[in-house]
Amino acid sequence: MTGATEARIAAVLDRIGRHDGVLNCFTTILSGQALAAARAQDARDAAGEPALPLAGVPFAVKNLFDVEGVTTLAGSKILADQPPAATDAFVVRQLRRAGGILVGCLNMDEFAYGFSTENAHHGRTRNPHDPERMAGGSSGGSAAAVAAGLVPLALGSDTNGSIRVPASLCGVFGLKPTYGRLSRAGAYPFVSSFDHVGPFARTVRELALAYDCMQGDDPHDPVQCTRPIEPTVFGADARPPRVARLRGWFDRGSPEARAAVDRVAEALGGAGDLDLPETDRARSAAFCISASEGGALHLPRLSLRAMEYDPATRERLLAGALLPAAVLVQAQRFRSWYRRQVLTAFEQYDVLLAPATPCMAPRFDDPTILLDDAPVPARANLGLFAQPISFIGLPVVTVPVCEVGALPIGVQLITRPFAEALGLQLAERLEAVGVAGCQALDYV
Amino acid sequence: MSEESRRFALEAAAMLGVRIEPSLLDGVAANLDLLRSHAARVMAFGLAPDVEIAPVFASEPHPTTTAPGRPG
Repeated sequence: MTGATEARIAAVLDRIGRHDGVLNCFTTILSGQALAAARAQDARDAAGEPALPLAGVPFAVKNLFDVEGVTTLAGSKILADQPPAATDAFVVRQLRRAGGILVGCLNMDEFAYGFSTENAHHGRTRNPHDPERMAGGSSGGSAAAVAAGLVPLALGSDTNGSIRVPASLCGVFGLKPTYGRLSRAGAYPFVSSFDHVGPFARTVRELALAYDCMQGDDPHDPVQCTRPIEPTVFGADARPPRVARLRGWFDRGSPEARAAVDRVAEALGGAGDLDLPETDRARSAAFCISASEGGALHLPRLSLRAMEYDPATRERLLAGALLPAAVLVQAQRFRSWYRRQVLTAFEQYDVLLAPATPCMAPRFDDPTILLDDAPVPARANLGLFAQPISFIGLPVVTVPVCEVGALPIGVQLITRPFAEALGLQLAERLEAVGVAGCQALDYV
Repeated sequence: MSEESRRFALEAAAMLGVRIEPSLLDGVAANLDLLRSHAARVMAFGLAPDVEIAPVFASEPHPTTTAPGRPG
């Protein structure tokens, strides 16, 4: 007789089989091991063992996370000849220990260097709200799989916006924790100075539960901070938050982006205005550090096998590797300065609001967006409002805001370092009053 | 892409001991043009000499790491 968890996982695999041909979220589907894990869960239930926090919850991971027995591709072709991973990435292991059942690995921009998940090797991931539109990237497979309801939970990474951009375009909740909060061990790096890992989910409670399960001390990530596990507590603090809306640089997007921030600000009781200094320079510094660190990481392979890289990636990485060291040093020093300026904002405010993307999902056949009312290439500019924040490692919960019948767009709830719980609490408040939330789509 | 960036790409690649595939040179130079504008904006900012590269937040690095000063 089929147990409840096995039936649930079989239904998930069936749904993936029916819809992933169009959406192209998955690069690997782990049917056999997922069904085996489900049967093991059913056996634990039958034996009356205590329930684990994620017991039987299906999840999937961006294919830059090590999964035992699977070759880690990081969106590339060039890594396909590498041996399978010997162990799970730390956060994958944590989710499995909590009872989660891994069903597969997800598409992404090659080596996480992009905002659109248009991958020359593995194809483009399509937005479940409209398959003719971009899912965003680089964790586009993760966001799209959650938005379509193929899985309730997925993991991604965020270096310059790669959780927040696809969460915005696909209309799901996403969490980019504080830099150093979650271990990145076993996640293929891109820009170590900025790399973060985090979850996507359809509800704030599920997002928080995944985050809580992934916390924990790991000696294998040298930049992880030592902090105790701090489970997210909801409903503990009903004080009205002190809210600021980021202006200037963050006002350059579409009217829909500004309107989404307006709705969130109003639901949180109103917001002051704040113009962060030198944000254009912060974006430039993030751009230079990303190019330089990413280029340096790939230079040995690029010098031998450049033509096996995605055309959208290889020339940018090569150029970045050639950037003079003085630029990298100045950009990193500027980062220290900028961080100090922005942190003073939290003496006055609890949360800062900004659009996650300048616009809703662009069409594949018209890959431009309006910025300052002028058309610019979408792929290069979708992360414009995300980059300055990950540059200094602040935690961000991205909440999906959507008018009925319209495409979604995300708003960033930015809090002080290590205040993920506050961001999640505010996100839940927005979800409860109907300002933020995932739409039910017809992928059943 | 600028001729200046093409020349720079070839010289910098030679310094690093790598070869740029000729068919990629124009694309690399075009990306260098873009990087040049971002780099100029970064380099133009005056920073006091005591602004140091530091871990992002002042929480302790992991006790087992040997890289406490690793740029955050």
